[in-house]
Amino acid sequence: MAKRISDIEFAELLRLHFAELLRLHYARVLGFVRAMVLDANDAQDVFQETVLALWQSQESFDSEREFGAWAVGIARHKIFDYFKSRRREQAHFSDAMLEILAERQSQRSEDLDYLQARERALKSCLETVQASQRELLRRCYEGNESVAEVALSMNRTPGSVYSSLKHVRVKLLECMRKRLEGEHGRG
Amino acid sequence: MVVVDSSSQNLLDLVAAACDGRLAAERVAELEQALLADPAAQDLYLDYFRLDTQLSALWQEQRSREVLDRIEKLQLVEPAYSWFDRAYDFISHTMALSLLIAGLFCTIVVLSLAVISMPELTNRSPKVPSRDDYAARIYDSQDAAWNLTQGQAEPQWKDDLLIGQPLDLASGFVRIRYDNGTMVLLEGPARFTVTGQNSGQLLRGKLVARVSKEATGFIVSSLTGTVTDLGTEFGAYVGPSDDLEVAVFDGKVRLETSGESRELGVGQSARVTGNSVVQGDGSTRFARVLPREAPGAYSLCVLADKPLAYYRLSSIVDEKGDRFTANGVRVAFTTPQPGLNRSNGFAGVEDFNRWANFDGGESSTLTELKTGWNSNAGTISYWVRADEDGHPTQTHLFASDDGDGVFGKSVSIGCIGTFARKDGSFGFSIDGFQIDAPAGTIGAPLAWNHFAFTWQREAEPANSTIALYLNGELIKSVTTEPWTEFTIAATRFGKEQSGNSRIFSGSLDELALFAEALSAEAIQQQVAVAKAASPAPIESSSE
Repeated sequence: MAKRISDIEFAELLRLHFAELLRLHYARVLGFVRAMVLDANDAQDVFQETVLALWQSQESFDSEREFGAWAVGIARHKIFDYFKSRRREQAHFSDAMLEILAERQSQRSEDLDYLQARERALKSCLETVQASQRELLRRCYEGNESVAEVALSMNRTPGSVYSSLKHVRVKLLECMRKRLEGEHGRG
Repeated sequence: MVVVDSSSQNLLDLVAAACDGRLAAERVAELEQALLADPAAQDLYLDYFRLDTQLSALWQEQRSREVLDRIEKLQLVEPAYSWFDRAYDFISHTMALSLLIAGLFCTIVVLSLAVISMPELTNRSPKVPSRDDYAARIYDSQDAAWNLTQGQAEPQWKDDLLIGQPLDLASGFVRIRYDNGTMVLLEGPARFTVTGQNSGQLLRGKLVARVSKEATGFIVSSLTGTVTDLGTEFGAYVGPSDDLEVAVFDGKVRLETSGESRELGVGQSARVTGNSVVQGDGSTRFARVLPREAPGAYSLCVLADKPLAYYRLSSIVDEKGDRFTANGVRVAFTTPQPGLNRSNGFAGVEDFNRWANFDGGESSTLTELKTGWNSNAGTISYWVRADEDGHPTQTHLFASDDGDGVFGKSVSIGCIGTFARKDGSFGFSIDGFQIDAPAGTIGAPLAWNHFAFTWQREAEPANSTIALYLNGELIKSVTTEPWTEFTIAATRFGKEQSGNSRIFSGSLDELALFAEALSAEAIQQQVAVAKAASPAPIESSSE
């Protein structure tokens, strides 16, 4: 006879499931928030508020819906709340532009298979770039050094390092697009 | 996601600047204008930020796993529950529930909070490893498979190795580079641990250590003995009996056990058994290089970097398979012809020197080399043996967008060229920009030298780079303003386009053209492969 799980155990399972869903959609949601809120620190604040809102309203989440679309929807609300409440001292997009970007993001339907394929594609594409480019990415993204410090140690200017980062990101985007097109018929 | 093409360059610059937090306020409107009516640009913009977020997560997750592994394996703290779960509880109940959830994805956040936000725990917790806690890095591997414990991430090429972090290689080869330059090539199955900035422990299997000059004194220990480098390259093997066997390929080592110590020189081998050191029988075989780097694999090394064109002599001279053989064709130009432009045919290299492409297909002369490559990014590499005579300045490769340029510092517009001088200097010119290595850089004539030149054009001011390499070493690199973007319509080796006499006199081999700027490591590897010891790659120790 199968063991019946307790309410506490069930709640724990739900929590873990929810966290896993969020893990899979992390880059999509945080990337979206950062793209809308250009200030990095403010974007982190908005993202945290979004995650908190997701967590608090998880019971209302309809599991038949696509989690990512739901999460992006809540992030969208939080972003617009942010722009309403702030005095907008920093540079930002117009409301019309924000609406367009938010709508564009919302139109994307991404199931779990696609998200996992995307993770695989990134790792696979990282293997295709030059070793020196991977090393540059590692140093810049690992969080131990600033781009300025990396540039200094390489006897380069920060602008030059940023430029190299741009090149390799574009390479990765193109590589991922091709792989996802092959696997999912879309980039 | 969208296709990224060159016409999107300005948009890319704006997007990258926004993503990196470098977009000036006055350019936000420009970015908005670029995005407003272009759904493809909007997709690019969103995808770019998303990729940036993914990359952060990828590397920081890896680092957080290493940190946790370190804490768990070295048992630096009381049971892991104490601090980690307190951090969990603290965050869950008081600070930011959101961070906890995200922390499942990015454990580094949790660790950071544990260290930064909770000083009362910091005192009792291990410090987050600093750079000093790492001593080596996985530098390269071939066909590596690992024995992993549950939840352990597979070591990757990019991984730094913490002191005390055990490696259990099931099969294949892994090369570890210590921060001091020492290289250790592990051959699976093997169990090895980096135990310090200049030491390691071999519990099972084989390794070959090539110790840098700065790291003399490098120590490999086993359960039965210790081998200390005295400036050398050596192999070590620990078999099922736990005996430590050592063979010396270069220099000397000291082999010690609790009861005995003995120095070994080149070609000698010995084994520690019990408390004794006994003479080895030389039967153990060690891999001193990765199999793909073995002599005979030069062309594979070049091909691995996907050259646009690769010219070697395999169908003309016995090149011995894929191996680099310093032979080449002598390409001295003996009868200068004044009208050597493309329309009249180029004779800088005598036309009877027929060159075969790497695949053994149709041969071509050095007067009609690969075209269609461009000035945005690329690499030229080749081996040259200069004659003792000839013009003081000799052109090597010359390429032009339209055939009208004249090779020279100030007027080589639309041209790419390489050259060397009798005074031992050499250099590279692209669209009027020139970079020179100083006189005396190249050694005496009649020796084979490997030349490589890389270029990377960036649209941003003063960010384009040109680099010169000689025999795998970076000789000079400059960062400069961007040159003009152009495509090569004519390429040849041995003489520039104008009717002067700067003609190459010597031999040439293994000329390769690449469409991207190769890394320093890739160029070094070409030379390392060519110079790898001529005997078979699997060395056997001998007494």
